[in-house]
Amino acid sequence: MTINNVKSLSRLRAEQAFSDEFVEISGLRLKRGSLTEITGAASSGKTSLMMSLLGNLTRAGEVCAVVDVSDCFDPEAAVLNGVMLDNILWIKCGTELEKGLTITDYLVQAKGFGAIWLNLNFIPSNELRLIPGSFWYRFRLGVKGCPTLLIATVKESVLGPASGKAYTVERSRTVWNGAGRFKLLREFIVSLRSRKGVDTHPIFSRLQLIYKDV
Amino acid sequence: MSEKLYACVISRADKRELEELGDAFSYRIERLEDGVLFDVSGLEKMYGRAADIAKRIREQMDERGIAGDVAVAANAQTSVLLARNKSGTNVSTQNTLDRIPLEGIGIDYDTLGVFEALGLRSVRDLKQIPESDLIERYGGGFKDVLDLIRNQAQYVLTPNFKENYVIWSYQLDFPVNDAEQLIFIIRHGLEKVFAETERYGLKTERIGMTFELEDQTSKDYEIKVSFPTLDIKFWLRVITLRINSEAPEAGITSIRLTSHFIRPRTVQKGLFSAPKPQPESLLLTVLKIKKVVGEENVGVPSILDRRIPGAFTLDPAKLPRGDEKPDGKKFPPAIVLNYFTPPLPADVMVNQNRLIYLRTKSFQGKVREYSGVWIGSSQWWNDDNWSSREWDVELEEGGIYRLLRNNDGWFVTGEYD
Repeated sequence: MTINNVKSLSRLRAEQAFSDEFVEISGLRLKRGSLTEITGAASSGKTSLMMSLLGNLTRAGEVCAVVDVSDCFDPEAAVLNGVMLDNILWIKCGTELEKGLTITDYLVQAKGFGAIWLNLNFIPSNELRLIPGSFWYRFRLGVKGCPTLLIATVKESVLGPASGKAYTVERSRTVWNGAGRFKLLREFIVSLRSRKGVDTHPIFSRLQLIYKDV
Repeated sequence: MSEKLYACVISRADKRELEELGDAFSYRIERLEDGVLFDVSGLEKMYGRAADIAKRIREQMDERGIAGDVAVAANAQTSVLLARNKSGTNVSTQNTLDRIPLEGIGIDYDTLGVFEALGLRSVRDLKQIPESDLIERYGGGFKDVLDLIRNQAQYVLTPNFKENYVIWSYQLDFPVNDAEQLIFIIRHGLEKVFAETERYGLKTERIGMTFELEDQTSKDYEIKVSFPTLDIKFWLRVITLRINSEAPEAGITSIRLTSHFIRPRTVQKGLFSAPKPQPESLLLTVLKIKKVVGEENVGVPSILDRRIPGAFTLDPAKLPRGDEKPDGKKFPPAIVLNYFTPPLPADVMVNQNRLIYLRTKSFQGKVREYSGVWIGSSQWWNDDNWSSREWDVELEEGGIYRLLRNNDGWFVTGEYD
């Protein structure tokens, strides 16, 4: 082994200082090896938070999977959120929910993904409610003991008690800059509230719209 | 014992092509800086005299499109010297080297200067000088030069080119149609080729399979993975997935497996390294997913360097790498546009040049706030030209959308989220 292959002491210390049990994003502490549900109405900011999470994980060298059931993943916005696209496995499901669930099962079984994002944003709630609860429990058990964060984003809650953590995202304010023809959408102020556990105080976060090419 | 015979090909062609050329004639091949040297002893029985062997090599070169010079000689060094200094196809005889200039036989610069002053320019001129006089003046080391020009140089051909594949083939007694039987036989073949590969201390990253079929056709498969491994279970899964997706159209009468091997991977594993799936597991998972959603729908996203709406694509040939980028940069959460695929046709009410109401099949509402119009166009120089007028629209029901108007009407292209 050459000396170049050995990690420096400072690097090892930095790695040890990093807690590997929780991942923090905009004030949320997401537990690894658990199934999390993030709900929010249209334009609540849930996708931006997910992208931000993927940005943090992929920059640390983790491989993350996007199960794009809604067929709406935007790589340009991902780059603006710091996502390293080379560490993303993007699966387009063509809005077929059944395929999305099968694929999530494969990914959960593969182990080792930093995060698996099941994007159900545009799937109608009545269709989602047809998914048997046993599916979600299977996923929950599948990721248990793994470093994987399995996160489903939906408009209305469908996981029920199967999710380890559940959060609701609401947009509390929209900021427009300028006036008339020179008006610009600038930022969202969003609140994040846990729907499980004792800590139900909302956490506020600011999401900006970035006008630049990637 | 038959006489030794060597062939040398000097060419600027690709090294690999030269090695394959040598491989067609001999199993003892030495890769040179500017060509290839190989042992053709014994080929006289197959092709005839040295000249016939040289002719045969030239024919092979022409067939493979290799330009260069060939020489066949009873001495390895002589064949190299001849091929380097005489163009075309040459066969060594007693006096073949006579016309070669002295610069080409490895005499040092000072001595060459002296020979030049004495009027000695070619090997023939040097041969006129008594050997003892030359050795007396230039030392014992000069005997090597003299041996060379007299076709007596001592040179041991050192094979430095090894095959990088192992082949196993099997002729079946009766045609096989059953996948289970086929996998059983392939497993046996893999065990054989991997045992052979392991003897070299190497691993396989590519496997070629050729099935001869009952209907006198053949089916070829080339399976390459992104890392070398000798894990039979893993290879069998990959092969099974491949055969399932491209099944042979008739019973299989013979199987040929080729294992291409390379050096094993070196990985530093650490207790604190970022979690990522094992390469075997990742590849198998991706192959399984591709079976569900199709080859083109799984891969790594990439940004296109083009000015078009939605300038990104999915690269199905790539797998996520898991590279770190510890540059410490902070990225504040940025608002994302969720694309509607395809865009939603919309009805828009406009009053006095102001957007009033938006309706699609999924949502509708009064327009609370909007920005725009943002005008974009590009590619006017070809058929892919596009132009659009866009607005960011906030509805009273809460959603904020991107609204587009083009020649086909109004569309909602995405939702800010």
